[in-house]
Amino acid sequence: MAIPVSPTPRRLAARRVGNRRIQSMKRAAMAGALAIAALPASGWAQPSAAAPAFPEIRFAINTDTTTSMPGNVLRNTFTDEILANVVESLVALKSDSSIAPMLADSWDISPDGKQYTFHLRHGVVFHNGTPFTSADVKWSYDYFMKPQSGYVCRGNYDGHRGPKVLAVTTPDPRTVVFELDRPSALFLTHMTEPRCPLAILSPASLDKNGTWLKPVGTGPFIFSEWKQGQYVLLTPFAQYRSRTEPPSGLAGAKHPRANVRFVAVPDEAAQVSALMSGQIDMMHISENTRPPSDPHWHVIAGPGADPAAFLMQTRDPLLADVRIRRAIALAVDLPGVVNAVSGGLARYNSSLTPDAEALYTAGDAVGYKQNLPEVKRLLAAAGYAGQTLTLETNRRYVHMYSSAVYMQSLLSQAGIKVKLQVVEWGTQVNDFRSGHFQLMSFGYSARIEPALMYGDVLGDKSKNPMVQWENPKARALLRSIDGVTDPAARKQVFEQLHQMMMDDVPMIVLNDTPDLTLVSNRLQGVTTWPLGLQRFFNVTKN
Amino acid sequence: MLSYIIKRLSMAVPTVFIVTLLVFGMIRAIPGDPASLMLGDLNDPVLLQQMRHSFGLDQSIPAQFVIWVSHLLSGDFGMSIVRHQPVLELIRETFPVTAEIVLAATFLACLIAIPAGLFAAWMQNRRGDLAVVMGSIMLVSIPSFWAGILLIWLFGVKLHLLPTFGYQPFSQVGWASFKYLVLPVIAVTLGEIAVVTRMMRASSIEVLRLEYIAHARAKGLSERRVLLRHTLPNAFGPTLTVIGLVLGHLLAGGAVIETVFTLPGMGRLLVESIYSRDYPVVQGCLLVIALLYVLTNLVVDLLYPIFDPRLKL
Amino acid sequence: MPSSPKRARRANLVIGAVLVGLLLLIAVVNLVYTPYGPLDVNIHARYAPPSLQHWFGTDEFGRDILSRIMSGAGVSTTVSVCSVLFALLAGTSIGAVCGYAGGWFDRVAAMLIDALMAFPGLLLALGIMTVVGPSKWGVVIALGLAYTPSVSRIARGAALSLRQRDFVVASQTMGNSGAWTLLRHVLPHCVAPLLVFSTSLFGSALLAESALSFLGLGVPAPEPTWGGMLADGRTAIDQAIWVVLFPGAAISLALFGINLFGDGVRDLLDPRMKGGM
Repeated sequence: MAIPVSPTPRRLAARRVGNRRIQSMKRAAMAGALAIAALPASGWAQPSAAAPAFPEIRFAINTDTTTSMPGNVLRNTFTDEILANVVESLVALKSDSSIAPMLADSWDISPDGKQYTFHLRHGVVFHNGTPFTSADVKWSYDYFMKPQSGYVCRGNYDGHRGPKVLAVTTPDPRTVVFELDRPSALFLTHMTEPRCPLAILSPASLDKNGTWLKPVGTGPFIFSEWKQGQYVLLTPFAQYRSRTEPPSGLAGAKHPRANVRFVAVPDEAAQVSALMSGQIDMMHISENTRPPSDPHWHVIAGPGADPAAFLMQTRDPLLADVRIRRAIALAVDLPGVVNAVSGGLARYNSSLTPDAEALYTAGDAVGYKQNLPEVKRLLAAAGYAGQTLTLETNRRYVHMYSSAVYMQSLLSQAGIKVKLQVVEWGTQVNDFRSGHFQLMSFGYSARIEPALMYGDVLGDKSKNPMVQWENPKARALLRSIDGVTDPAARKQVFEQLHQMMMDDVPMIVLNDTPDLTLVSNRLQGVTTWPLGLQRFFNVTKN
Repeated sequence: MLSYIIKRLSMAVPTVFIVTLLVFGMIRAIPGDPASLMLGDLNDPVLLQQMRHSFGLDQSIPAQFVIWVSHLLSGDFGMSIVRHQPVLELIRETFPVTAEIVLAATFLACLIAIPAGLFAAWMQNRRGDLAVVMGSIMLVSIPSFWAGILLIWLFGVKLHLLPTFGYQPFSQVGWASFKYLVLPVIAVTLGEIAVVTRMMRASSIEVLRLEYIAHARAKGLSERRVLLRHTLPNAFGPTLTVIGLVLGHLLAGGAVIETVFTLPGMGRLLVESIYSRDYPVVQGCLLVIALLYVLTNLVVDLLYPIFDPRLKL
Repeated sequence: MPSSPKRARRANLVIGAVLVGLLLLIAVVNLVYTPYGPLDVNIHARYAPPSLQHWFGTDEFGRDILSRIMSGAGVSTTVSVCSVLFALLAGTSIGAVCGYAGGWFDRVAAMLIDALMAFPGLLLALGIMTVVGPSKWGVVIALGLAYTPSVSRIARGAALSLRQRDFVVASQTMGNSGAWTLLRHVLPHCVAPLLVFSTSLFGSALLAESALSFLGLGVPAPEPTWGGMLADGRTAIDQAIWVVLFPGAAISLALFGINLFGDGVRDLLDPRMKGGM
């Protein structure tokens, strides 16, 4: 739900509606408070103690989380996954990566785009029972911006990688105002970033010395127990007030219906064995694992947002010639390779914009079509003399390895000599970051907005060897929508960028790695999400 | 005796020092560092710098070495970069798992191998001996990781009898903790039986040839007495050395069997830490392994004279 | 029964020799012929069970397992033989020189060698492989280096015991240089114990190479190695047990043959152990 910068009369009307809504909410809050006062004290203050016996969903993760603080420098992907069920921000992402309300019911953006006024929800409480007010928003923001907190996304708010937040004010307990130094299309998006959400926390998350204790948030689950190296236990938050919109991604209605135990099981093979023997109920799987079909479990597949890409080092003497790169792109039946690698679960998507996102267009869907005569012509024109290219890949990520195996075989059949070089993942990351490769079978991690993806891919290799595509025009075009929030305008620019990338062929994007979950049939309500984080609200176990 | 121990321990110090130096240098020679690996494809130089600083990686390698050693001397093995737990705590959690498997397998192997070796020597060159010899050669040829995979398939997948992954410590579930160890111990024991049997058989043959055995037989002692009272203790000495070697070998090979059975042991911790460039953990684990190796050899050498009074320390 | 044990021992040697011969034969034949290309993918025949077309079945990419086992025989044999040769060359030179030279040089070297031996062989190889990156010659060097200390210990032991022997002293008195004495008189006597040791070393190297490949740090994919095939097949044991059954059986048979052969060789060369294994 993108809020356009609209002319004044509509805003004033919204203000009036907002005021009326505030009045009715105040009345509701009074009634609610009276009702709540009638509840026995124990049930209110310690929800976990008085909660009815819940079934327990056991979810396997590869390694334990390394911290319980959202967005901390020590985090790993499982930290993000666990905490996505525990904390909330002002806004949330839907499954098509668009922005939806969460702790803010609505917001207004000033015409110059520099002021965001958030109108907060009523009646929300933290896990420890204290009510949620605008002061908590300011407190959380200030805490994360302190260097000692180790928050990894300060750059999004201090001007380094986004606008600079000049001030955060709380005119009343239901309103928060952020003042920026310049308009930013991604200000709201950044707040929902899974690896560093601007989570709204209670000061009770710290102990009296100011050291981090545990996340006391507003989400549907409470961070109950953490046995370091082994498991994390979340319990339903009885006083969670769910939104009413239909659930989508991390937005909408969220109802906690079971305890959730995140169990560290380091190995996918072992996770599969554990699921088959009933020790766990749910796990992420990769495309290559095919558990035997069985009445006790099933695979839920959905589109993902992690682009799998075939990188080409444009500064390599041989690959600097766009004709050779183009020949490589046209030499292989790319949809066929994607189909084989993903077992039919993913579609060929030539664009850096995931096809599940709202900003994906028909123009993005235009890919490379295999054309062997053209390949011959291009290779001849470029003077390709049968030199062998090295394709780097690793064994850790099965899809990267599989597509490398297929690409090597098929390119060789098309007359382009390729040799596989399998390295250990750490070495491959190092080579990626230093640009030290010719061809590489790689997978990017998801970005929540195409601008972020293009921003990391475009650049100047002499300054930053990690970028893949050097095109100053494209860079300028991307920068031109820095402050543009209108989705239609952004779509158009992304389509243009995609077309430019297809012409330049700096890399071949293959597909978005599907989000696959192996689920025991005892669970109901499990859904997939392109960003891959598993959500445990709305899931029941019988 | 005490002076011998002190002399051996002091000779071990330069050995261990060289090992730590080797480990330190080698792990840093591997391309990549933990911070950039954790960032992956994320393009954030400020964050990279922040992380490298918090891991102490922005200093020169000799400086890092000095810092590490000085912390070591006060008993601080440092903090795991990937898991953010103290290294010593990780080792303390994982080592018992490895140790349980190693000790159980060695004990089981000895239980089977020593009588088998003695029996084979007694039946030398007759059918019983040949059966034992052939059997041990077959056992030693089976790689433990293949045996492990097949055991998982048989007992875990097909028969659903035993758990095939993970581990719950004794402190949590008591005797039930052993059901996680049954398969890995069997897989490891198979190979080790052979090694100990061979040595026991060889040294028993030597002892049986000696004059005093013939003398004892001539005196009219029962065969059982000859074997148990006179042969076994004397043949055990060289076997003890082999057992020491086996223990050392198992400590190192733990990585493979722990990978197959996904046990949270020290071998696995070590391999995973190499992959994730978790320098402090790799350094700590290898240091511990080297120390254990030295200690095991020392203990074996000390116990040897008990079985062979001819040797004096 | 006196002929029986000798026959039995000779039978061991023969069976062992046959198996080792078979291994070498397959390794050589694989250079010329395999039923399918070991790298040829076949999208339509993934995880096919053993049949007339694929005697040992196929793996996740539809590659014929029999062909890959044959190719793996070549890889494993090459790597094992080369790493043992490396260890023999390096270890004997170092050990013999140290043992013969004696003095402080010997003591320092002994300390260094002990330090290396405190480093479990597999882990040393693993560390080297992570630095060098998975590669065939990296494995050879890594395993060779891992075995050099034990070889040098044996060579040193032999050289030490020989240092005081008459013919060595005589050679030195005659005015021959140390190096010549070393080569002509000391080294030949190291051969016997080293030969016996190297047969068991060959078996260890084969096993270690499989273990390294299993851990993902051996000879890199897609080149087939028996250990690598075991690692790949692990996730599919519930649906395709043949992917791990046959490569593991290959390793076991190869090791069985090598061990039998090694024992037979030792029986021949070491008369003290005439009754021994």
